[in-house]
Amino acid sequence: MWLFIYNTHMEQLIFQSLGIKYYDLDTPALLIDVDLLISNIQKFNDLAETADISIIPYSSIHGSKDILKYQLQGNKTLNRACTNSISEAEELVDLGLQKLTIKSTPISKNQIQRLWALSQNTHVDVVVTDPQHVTNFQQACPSTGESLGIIIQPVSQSPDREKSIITIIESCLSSPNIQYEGLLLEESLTLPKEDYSSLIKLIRSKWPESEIIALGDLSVKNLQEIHLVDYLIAGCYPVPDIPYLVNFPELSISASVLSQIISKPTREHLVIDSGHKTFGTDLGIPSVIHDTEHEYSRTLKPLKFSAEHGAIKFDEDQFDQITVQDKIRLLPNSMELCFNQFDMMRFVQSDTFIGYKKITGRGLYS
Amino acid sequence: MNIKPQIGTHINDLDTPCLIIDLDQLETNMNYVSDFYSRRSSKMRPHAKNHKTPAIAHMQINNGGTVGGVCASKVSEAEVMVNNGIKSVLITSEIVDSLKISRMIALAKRAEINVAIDSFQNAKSIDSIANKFNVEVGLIIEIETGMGRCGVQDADEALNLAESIKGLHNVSLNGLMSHQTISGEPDLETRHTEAKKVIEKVINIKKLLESRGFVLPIISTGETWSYDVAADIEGVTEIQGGSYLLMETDYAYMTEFQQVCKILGTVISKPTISSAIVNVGLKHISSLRGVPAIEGNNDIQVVDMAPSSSTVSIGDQVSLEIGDQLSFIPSQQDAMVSRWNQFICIREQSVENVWDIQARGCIS
Repeated sequence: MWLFIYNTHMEQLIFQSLGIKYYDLDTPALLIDVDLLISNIQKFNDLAETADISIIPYSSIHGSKDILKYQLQGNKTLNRACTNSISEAEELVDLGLQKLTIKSTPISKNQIQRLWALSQNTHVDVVVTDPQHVTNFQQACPSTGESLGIIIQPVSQSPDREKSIITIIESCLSSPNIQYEGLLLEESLTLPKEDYSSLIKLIRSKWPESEIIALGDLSVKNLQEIHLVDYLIAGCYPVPDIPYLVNFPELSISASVLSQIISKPTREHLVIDSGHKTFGTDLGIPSVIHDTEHEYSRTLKPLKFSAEHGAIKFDEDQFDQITVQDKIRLLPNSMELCFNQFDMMRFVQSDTFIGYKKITGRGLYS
Repeated sequence: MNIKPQIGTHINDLDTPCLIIDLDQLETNMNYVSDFYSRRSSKMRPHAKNHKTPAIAHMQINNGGTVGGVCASKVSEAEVMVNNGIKSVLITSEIVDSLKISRMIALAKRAEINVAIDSFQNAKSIDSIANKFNVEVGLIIEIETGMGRCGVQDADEALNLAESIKGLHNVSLNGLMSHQTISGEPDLETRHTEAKKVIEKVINIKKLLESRGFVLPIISTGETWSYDVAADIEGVTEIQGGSYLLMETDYAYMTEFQQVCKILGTVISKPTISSAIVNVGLKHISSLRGVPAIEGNNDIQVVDMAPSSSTVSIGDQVSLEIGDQLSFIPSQQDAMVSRWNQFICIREQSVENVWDIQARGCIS
């Protein structure tokens, strides 16, 4: 059985038979182990169940409808999704989701028109941070009866933050087509945790129906006010990267990049065919995954990456074991930036290639 | 969907973030290099990895001062160039996989193909597959000149490799190549000194091989930072220049070139009086050699970058409001271009053209 994909441009795929071992795939290749992906989704849903919180998948991490569909099957997952951009949300309309949340506030006239058009087809919530955003939406509101949900993200550090949020809520309440929905609280992997509890209590005391949504997978373990939060927007758990696995050791490596050794120019370093343009190394370089077929992979230490290549150090006594043309797997430091480099994933099950899957949201930035 | 803006759209009306190039500035850089090389025997071989766009490659070639072909980093990138009418490609990476070698051989039936090598095993693989297809592929020995990547390490290795290639029938040793880097913001004298030092290694190996009877029509070296030095080193025939065309802040010291390529973004939030959030992040622009600069305003600086947004600090004298546009200039442009599907080409503040980045994603 042959899989045929005709590509006029972008990633140039070649014919590769379903059923071959992943090792024989053309490189660099973004591999997804479907069984481990499903297992990660289940484990994260278990964590959400323990925290008594429901998950809204953030699909911009991977940009894949296929992965999103697996996420939506989770027992603690809502039939909703969050995207960063309108164009990504437009791409998801045909999934028939109950609600789409757009995280990056549309500003231009054209984007706001698209936002209203999108709300004709599905229930849309959009994240805002400033009263001016709501005013912009009101001014562009069509007369055809659509409605738009507003979620407020408190980003201001100023003492009158609460006042600003209340202004936005009151502005929504004065507009028949715009509905205040709740708050979005962002938890970072790197920034100190912020205490939102007094803010949540204040808003709930005035508007008890407010949805309180936490953004960031780590919140499932760490958010101080987790008992006050209704929903969690999370995205990386199906395909954890290096920093994510530090925080979630119970998850498995389900996504990796298969690369080929193209040169062994010295007795202590080799060169692979994958660099920045493969991994998106802006937040850190990848690590080599130990592969039992190439025992030497245990000792490989990535040194540096250029746009096209990676230089990897090895122990000199491994020199004879390493062959140009060998392939190794690497774990990206940022899965979101790595997925953004590819047009296609290669789905794998039991080490066997089972099909290409398109990264439908890639490049949909505006 | 990637929606192209209408021709004539004013820059202020573009959906952001978007990748823009200023056509006047692009032509200025292109003309500068064409003029420079039209007066020399060495020629530019523009690197297509920087723009991944056949339309731009044809402009560079037609403008003059080039060898009439391009460099490509990967076979898939070379395929896009040849499929769009480019007649000569130097593939600057070692191609070792038999599937990829077959694809490269197929290209060699339609265009002049040279490829970098640094081992006899690789040369033998290419020869074996070229033999089946009855074509000849040119081999260029890569010399290591300080990058710590591929390439033979010294003259003895180069000579041994050249001697062993002699016995192969469907490949021909056509020359030598090297690639080198320089750090910081070197002045002209430092650039000249450093470039001559590293390229001298290639020239010495060329002389050694020629003394043993090898004919080497291609000596390919140099890049944007050494485009002027390498061009005047006797024996160098072509220069692999890429960044000069679209530019990046890492090469800001090359003041003869203008910053052509930018990401246009919009302020979407203003959490404090001295900071703003812009809808441009690491998915859109690379930070590999430092955070991007903001065009035309040193009082606005990028202080933090997330995948889909950036935080900028705002100086006391600057007024910046939600809805204002900012242009981000990359620190490293080819890792940025590879994240986009199209260039929006601007002249006099309006869209004049939209070019597909046809080799985007061509990393295999």
